[in-house]
Amino acid sequence: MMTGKTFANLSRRWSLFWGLLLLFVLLVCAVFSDFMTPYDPTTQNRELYLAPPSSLHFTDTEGFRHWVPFVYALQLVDRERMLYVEERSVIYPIRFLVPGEPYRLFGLFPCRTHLFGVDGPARIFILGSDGLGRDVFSRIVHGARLSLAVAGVALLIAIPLALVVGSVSGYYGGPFDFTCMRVIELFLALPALYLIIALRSALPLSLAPEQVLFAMVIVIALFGWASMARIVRGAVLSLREREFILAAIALGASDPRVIFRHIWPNLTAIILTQAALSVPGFILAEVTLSYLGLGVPEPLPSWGSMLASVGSVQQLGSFWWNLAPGAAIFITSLAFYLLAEGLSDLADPHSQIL
Amino acid sequence: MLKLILQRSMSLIPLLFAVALGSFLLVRLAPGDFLAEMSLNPQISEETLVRLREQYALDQPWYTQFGKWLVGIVQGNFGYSFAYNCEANSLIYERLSNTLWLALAGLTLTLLAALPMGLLAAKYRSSTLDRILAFLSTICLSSPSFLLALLAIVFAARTGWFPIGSVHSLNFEKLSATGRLTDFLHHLILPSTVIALRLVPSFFRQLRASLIETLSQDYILTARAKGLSERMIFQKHALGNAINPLISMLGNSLGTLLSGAFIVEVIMSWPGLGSLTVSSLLSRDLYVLIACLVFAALLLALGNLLADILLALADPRIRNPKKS
Repeated sequence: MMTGKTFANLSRRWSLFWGLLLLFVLLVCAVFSDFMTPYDPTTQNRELYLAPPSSLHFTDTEGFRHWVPFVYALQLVDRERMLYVEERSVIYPIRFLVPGEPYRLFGLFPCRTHLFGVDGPARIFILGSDGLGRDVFSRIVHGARLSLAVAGVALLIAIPLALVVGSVSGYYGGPFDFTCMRVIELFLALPALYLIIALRSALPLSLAPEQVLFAMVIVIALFGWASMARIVRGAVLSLREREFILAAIALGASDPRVIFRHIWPNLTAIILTQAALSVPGFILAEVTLSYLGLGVPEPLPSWGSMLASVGSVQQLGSFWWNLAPGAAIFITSLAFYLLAEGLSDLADPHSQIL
Repeated sequence: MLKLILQRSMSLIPLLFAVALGSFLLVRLAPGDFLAEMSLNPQISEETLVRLREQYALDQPWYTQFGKWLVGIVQGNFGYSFAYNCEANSLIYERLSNTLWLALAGLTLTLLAALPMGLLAAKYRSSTLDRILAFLSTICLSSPSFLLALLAIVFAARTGWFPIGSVHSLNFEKLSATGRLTDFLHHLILPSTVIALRLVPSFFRQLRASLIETLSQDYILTARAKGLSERMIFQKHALGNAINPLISMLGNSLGTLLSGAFIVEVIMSWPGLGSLTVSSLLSRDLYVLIACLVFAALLLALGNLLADILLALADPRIRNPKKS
């Protein structure tokens, strides 16, 4: 019995570690996406569309071994079969901290330095290029910024809403509680994606990019708050009966003081776990909307619209690198599930979530 | 028992009414005229447009429209599809049955995979097998249905073993009864597998956890002390008690099931309720969209009701609650 528990605890500590590590990498990618990627996500190379991922070489044609990997320039030789060959006469070594396309760091400081890149006219496509010759890797990293931003802002709206509604209705009960619970049931009466579609249907189909982002955040926050509020209410209901709360009330603490100073600190772990658990769902909602063409419009890079642009099944089979956004969604979900698992252990070592 | 079923079914009515009203208002909030597109179609006469406008009270305030629509629903008439130019009923029933089959097949596959996995993991707790299963379930949990559905399409295209999209083959009408069944199942396998892969982890974890919990109870120790075989202990004592949380899990995971079906339908072109919802949203097909949303809520509510009934059947403590 003991060994089983220790094993479970240990693996949960590791979950927290890997979850935090992955989250850190994702956040760095999201914040410094212009720096991390070699190209602008909207730059098109029309003569290099659907190019395969660049292969890195160490040994050149004369058998000379290089320390720094290099790539060759690609040339499309057969349009029918989409065959690219490498131009082997000139090598293009990978350079680090190279000047490239200008961008604004944090949207403020003009900057040209990219983490890595190669000299033109060669291109480095770590994950190939899409139908318009845009670098898939650059688009995925920029897509991470968009997805995480949408999910993050939606959380910033959903959590306070859930916290206030959940604690007030849990603490006071009565007609307010009854009304809130009926409203929440209404939100939970629809399966998640149907609810997203229902909420989205209230807005015009085509919007300007900024409006779309705003609309998506609102839709996702409205979809996410209900289940969170219900969990908060449950936790407040049980906390209210605990001795330390009764003691605080007996000492004459006012209701706001009890809620802010005694109840909310005890909700921290639950809220954090719920937040981590809901992010994959939020991201999936964003991806689904963008996939359906109801979300982020082209040319903004979003994982959903990237997957949608793949088009036919034949394309999907031959140009497998266009599935890479799916892998990005996988890694992001994994990060947050691991985080949730680790956090729930901190909150309650005996709990079994998921 | 009957009282419980009746009570729960009655409570569905206000919920469904609220969902209908809510989705009606949401859809009405959006700008745009539903007949605008139809009026551009030269095949539809001006008279038809006027008739439709009158029939659905499109020129009157929303509450009149909602009232008329509600009266129609009570009579079993879900309105008119402006995009398909037909009654919404036939359209929705066909799509609904497709989604239902998909969800049922997904659920069956889930149980077929999760039950043995949970049993094995609980029996050989903390072994290498347990760890491998736990790892696999984390991987499955994090795989978005999106990726799985796309991979399934690639798999089908590469191997040619499975058909892609649609419910039947083109020559479906000519097939014999068994031929039709095989054809349908052949189309069903891949989409339902994708749905199942997303659900297996939660069922597996729940079963494993509740089995481990049950196996640590005193009466299991008693059973061991009596000299019962491990097999007997598992089958007669542990499993029956560990299955209850799994049934409540069934109710809770219906939302995930239907959302998974939604994505699979949209990506793998399975003509179900989800893909109809999307296409009716894109074509501003008011009545079909609302009917889809109401039916999605109905599916979820009925599924929950069914799970509650199952739970009451499995657990006498819930069937006969103590009077307090």
